[in-house]
Amino acid sequence: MRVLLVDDETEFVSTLAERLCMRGVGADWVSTPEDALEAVANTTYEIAVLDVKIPRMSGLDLKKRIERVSPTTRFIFVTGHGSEADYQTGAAEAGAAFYLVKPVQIGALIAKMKELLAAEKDTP
Amino acid sequence: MSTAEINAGFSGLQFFGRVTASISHELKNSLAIIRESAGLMEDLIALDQGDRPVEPERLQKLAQRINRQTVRADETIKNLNRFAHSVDHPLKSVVLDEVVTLMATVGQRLASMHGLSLTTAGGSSTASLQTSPFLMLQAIWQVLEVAFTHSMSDSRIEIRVESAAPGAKVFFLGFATLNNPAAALAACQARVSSLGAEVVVDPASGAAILKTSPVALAKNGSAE
Repeated sequence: MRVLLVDDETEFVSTLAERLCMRGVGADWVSTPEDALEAVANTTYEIAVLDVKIPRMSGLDLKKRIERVSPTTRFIFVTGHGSEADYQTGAAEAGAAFYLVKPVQIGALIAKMKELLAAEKDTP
Repeated sequence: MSTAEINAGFSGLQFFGRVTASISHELKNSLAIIRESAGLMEDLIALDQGDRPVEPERLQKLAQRINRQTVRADETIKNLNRFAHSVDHPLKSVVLDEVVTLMATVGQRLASMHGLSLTTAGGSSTASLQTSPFLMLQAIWQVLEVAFTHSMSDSRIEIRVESAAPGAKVFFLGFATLNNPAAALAACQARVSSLGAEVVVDPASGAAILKTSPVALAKNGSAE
């Protein structure tokens, strides 16, 4: 499994990536939307884990830009806000099951990734 | 209670909610880093019990990161506490520079989200003023929120404050770097007028100047 993590909190996202790698998930991380777009242009990611709020671009806008470059990439949203408005928007875009609130349980995140890929395979 | 008073009360609550939501996000980020760092320490120790020895320096760096984040979270909570206490007294003697610094610190994350560089000229005024701390914060916030929505990639705002008896002048240097400064000014004026403040632009520097008067703030903030 190849995943891209996007979050402006570099200490969070780099550590999460390292922990995912220790569990057999090929995780790369970036902290800006520009770097995310460059990463998906160079590598095929099955899943992108996006912070809902990142500087200069919303996670939802970034999702749309990534989809143009990499239409097969699926998405999980992570937020620190947890506001009702954020939840409604994020859940509508990613599906309520794939919208997680920080701090994230790594086991739950991996389970969501597997669930997302399994759902993808089951889709005719 | 008049409609204007109800609107003023709601506007204050909205401001309070936005700021506390932003602060809670800050705290969530610190907690997330602490959790991941502690989790990585556990992972490394678990590996150490197998065949890969854990380097003490690695654990030390993770412990230092946790320490840094607890300091950051503590600062965030202190700011939240200062902000919460701004409603304690309708009128109070405040150090102008402290008010401006608090609002700029609290607004830092949202500024960053909008790509706006936000700084303060620290120590610009040690003068004290008898005013409504909450309403003064709210007036500054209104200008900042407009700056957020009008920011461009190279926008930068530096806030400076000076006493202008009986009130204060808060300068937003770099206001001209915003997208459509004239529209931004009009939006600021509309937002702060209900608070008894006004915003003008200094033609020479292009800075926006928020003028607050303690009497007007107190009068407009009162719903009694």
